[in-house]
Amino acid sequence: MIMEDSQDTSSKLFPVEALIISFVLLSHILIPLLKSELFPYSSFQLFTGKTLSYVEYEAFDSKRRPISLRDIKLQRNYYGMSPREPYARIKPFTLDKFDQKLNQNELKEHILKYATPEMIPITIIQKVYGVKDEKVKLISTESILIQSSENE
Amino acid sequence: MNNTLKHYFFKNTNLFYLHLCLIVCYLSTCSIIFYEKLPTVGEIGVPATLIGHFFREALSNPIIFDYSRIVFLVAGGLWSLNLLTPFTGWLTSLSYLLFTSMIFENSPGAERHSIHLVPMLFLIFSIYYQFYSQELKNSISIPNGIKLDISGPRWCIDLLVFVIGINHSWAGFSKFLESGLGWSNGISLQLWVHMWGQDNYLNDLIINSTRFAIFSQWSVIIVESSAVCAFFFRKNRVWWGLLLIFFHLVNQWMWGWNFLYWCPIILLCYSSDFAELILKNNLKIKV
Repeated sequence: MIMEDSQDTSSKLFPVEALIISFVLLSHILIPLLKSELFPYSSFQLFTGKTLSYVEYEAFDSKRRPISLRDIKLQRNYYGMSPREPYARIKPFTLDKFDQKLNQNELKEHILKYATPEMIPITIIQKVYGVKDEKVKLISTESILIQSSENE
Repeated sequence: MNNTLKHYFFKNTNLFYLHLCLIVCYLSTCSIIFYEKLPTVGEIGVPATLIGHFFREALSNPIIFDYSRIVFLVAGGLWSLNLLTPFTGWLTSLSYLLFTSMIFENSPGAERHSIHLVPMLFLIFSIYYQFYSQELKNSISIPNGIKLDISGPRWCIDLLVFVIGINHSWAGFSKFLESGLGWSNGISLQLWVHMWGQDNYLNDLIINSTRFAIFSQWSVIIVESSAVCAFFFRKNRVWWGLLLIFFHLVNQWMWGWNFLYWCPIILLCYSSDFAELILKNNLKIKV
């Protein structure tokens, strides 16, 4: 077989082709500007925040058995995206957020709301990670005992 | 229309090469489509997709999910063989758009960013095949031999490059829009890597050096934000393609996300001029 010489099949675009090209170009610019998420036109937000610290939680019951953080709404959701509208499926609620260390009262109020009576008293270990001397380090560790009001 | 637009959209492209891009796009996508599962956790929130605004309930149906995957595999295979086009092209694109929309619409916060790009690429291919399927059939007609140098207007390749570029650029711009120039403070990357990163040498380096993390973040911003420039600078397009591929390889290494399947697609789309030159000069073979 012999490869044929080049055949020029196009000297100009059809108007409908030009229209479609313009639509694809403009839609990819305008739709993400007007509405950040309308797949397949998206502004593609990822890791847009400016994090300075994060907290790692551990929870134990009175017999030192670990408790699922999801059960007491302290699980770590993926939060690489900036907060926007609750698109698609709504993430399960949690009190864990970047740059936010909770004090004893905030934690107690939250835990007593979601924990079952069998779990209490609960010990929460709150480890705060940040950057010190150019390196990621454990900045502080705090152990907080949460008891029901009657036992205090 | 002015000369710049003519330069982009009127100029010819090699149809055999274009079809090769389509086949690679299809095969790369096949490599991930079997592993995808339909997420089901969480309440349904605001629709994140075009289809979701009209058929939200149907997008949670696992049977539709499985059928869309099968239709994509079969129709895409036929399209790759240049059979029943342009019908198979539309079927492939729409089934894949449905498939990805279902994943997107059922993921918490619509966070499945590794599926953003490819559905639109298939749609652009379909539009092109709607106009030029006969020419494409002529270029890959087995009884008459594969004609490597039949050409058509090049807007398909240019639009593919534009869509790949603008998606990456939005990823870069959104960081500036959200956090300003201070986004590249190094600390945030160090902490994200500490939380979610793979255990490897590069991540150790980032965790232990804010300066290296700052350098990495600036590199990300520059590579991502400038990706759309490749559309305007065709002669240097291949370099942007290589940068984007490098970016995704590093991402894969750092986080383990599935971006690898984009790499062959980016490589072929961004090196079209280079590859077409090789086809033109070296493949006029006589058998």
